[in-house]
Amino acid sequence: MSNPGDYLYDGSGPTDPDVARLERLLRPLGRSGDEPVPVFAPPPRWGWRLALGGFLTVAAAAFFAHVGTVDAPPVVDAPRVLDEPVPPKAPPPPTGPRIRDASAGPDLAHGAWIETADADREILVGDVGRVRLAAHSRLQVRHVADDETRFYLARGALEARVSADARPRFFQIDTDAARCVDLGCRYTLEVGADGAATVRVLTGQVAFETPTREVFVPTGASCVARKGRGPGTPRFDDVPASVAAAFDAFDASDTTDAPRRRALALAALDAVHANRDTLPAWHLLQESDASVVRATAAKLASIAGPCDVDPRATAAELRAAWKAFLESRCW
Amino acid sequence: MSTLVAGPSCPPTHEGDDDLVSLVVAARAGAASAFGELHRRFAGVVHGIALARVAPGDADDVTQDVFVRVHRTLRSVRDPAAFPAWICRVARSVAADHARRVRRRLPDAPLPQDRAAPPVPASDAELRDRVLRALARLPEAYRETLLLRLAEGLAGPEIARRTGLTPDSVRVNLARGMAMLRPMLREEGWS
Repeated sequence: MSNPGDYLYDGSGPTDPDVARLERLLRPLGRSGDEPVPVFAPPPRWGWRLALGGFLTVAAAAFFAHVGTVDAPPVVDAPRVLDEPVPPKAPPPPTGPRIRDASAGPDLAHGAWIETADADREILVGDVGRVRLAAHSRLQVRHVADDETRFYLARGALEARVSADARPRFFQIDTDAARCVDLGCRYTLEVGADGAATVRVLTGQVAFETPTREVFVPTGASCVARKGRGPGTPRFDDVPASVAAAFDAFDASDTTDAPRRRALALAALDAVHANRDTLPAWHLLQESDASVVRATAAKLASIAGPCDVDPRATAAELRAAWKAFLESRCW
Repeated sequence: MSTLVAGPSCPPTHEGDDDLVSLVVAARAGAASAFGELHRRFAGVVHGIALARVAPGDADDVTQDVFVRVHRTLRSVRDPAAFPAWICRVARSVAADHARRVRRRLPDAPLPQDRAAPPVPASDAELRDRVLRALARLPEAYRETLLLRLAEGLAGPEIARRTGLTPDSVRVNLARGMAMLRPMLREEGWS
């Protein structure tokens, strides 16, 4: 049995005269199907993303003046490579990219530390990545394999560039606050004396992960992860101060005080008005408080328009649908 | 450790697109025949998305530009199953850029002095122009889906496969768009 609207949907059922007339009028505008397939030259083997100029953000550079109470290591011409015992639970990798100093030093083994003095150093990760370790920083090679390479940034700052050919999630950097997972990007990551890690994405996108929260940081956005609390709410670097302050207050709230946390979440939503404000707002969809999730979805719809979500969708499906929707319209 | 999706969520592949993932993987690796097949399957939806945003005469150029960009950036697609939603995003972005460039070049059209009922159109071409004006007043999602159906000749299930929308969403977009369009067409002299 046909339903009203079947003819419009798939041409079945009784003909709708308005629809049929529109088809006749508009079909000539459609693609004829005779056009040849465009032919392109083969793409280059490696697709590095464009450098935006200036490998450290101004904020990161300013941060170096306040790196804290860490004792300055002795001045040396080359970075010291400190071989420390490989953690007993970490198996030696059978394969994986060569990790080496760009200044033609020795290959860096699993577990090796790289410590810089007054100068930056560049670390090559096979032919898929480069890490520029800033002065007065300390980095360890934690895990090397074909499907995953992971470092640990104990202090200081680095800038990572990952080739377009690297598989998703191949390149990861641990800090005491959270794990930074490359989804294809160029970013800076700095660890303060208090252990807080700030990632600022220059191109592409980065995910912060903890067992309880996922955080998405696209181009032009940054996020702070604090020891014991994990990643805060990311926001574009040009969001209004009122939005930043509202989400800072939310991030700093006691997670065990549900009424207070709810009030701060709703206050943060009140501060959100522009398309780019929807980035921090989206992260409120992860809250366990259903009223906050409802208010967030309503706010997102009021700014970006309605998102097509199945009413039976799970929480994860809801977040994924909104993320895809907002990525195409607002971020 | 929680898992983060690297691309937009995408419905399961529908009947007829079981090989889409392998096609995208092959095209990403440089297989010209695979890219050609992707062009064959998605050129219509790209063209329809372009029609929803630019003048009809520019839709072919925009479609070509989209596939140039797709060819250049296909390696950035992390999840091959998300290709339909991804190419639609690229198409919208390229079409919007084109529309902005054109608006910057053209002087503003004079505002109509009144809204008297228009005369009966003398030809199909004139009626088509009026239909396009009415479509331009619809929300983007409805306009785009209607053009995919009415101009590109794609049935609802195929629109869903090619855009990443669910079939229900396609049906809703078509129904609501048409409900908004009918009275506008009457205003434009549609008898």
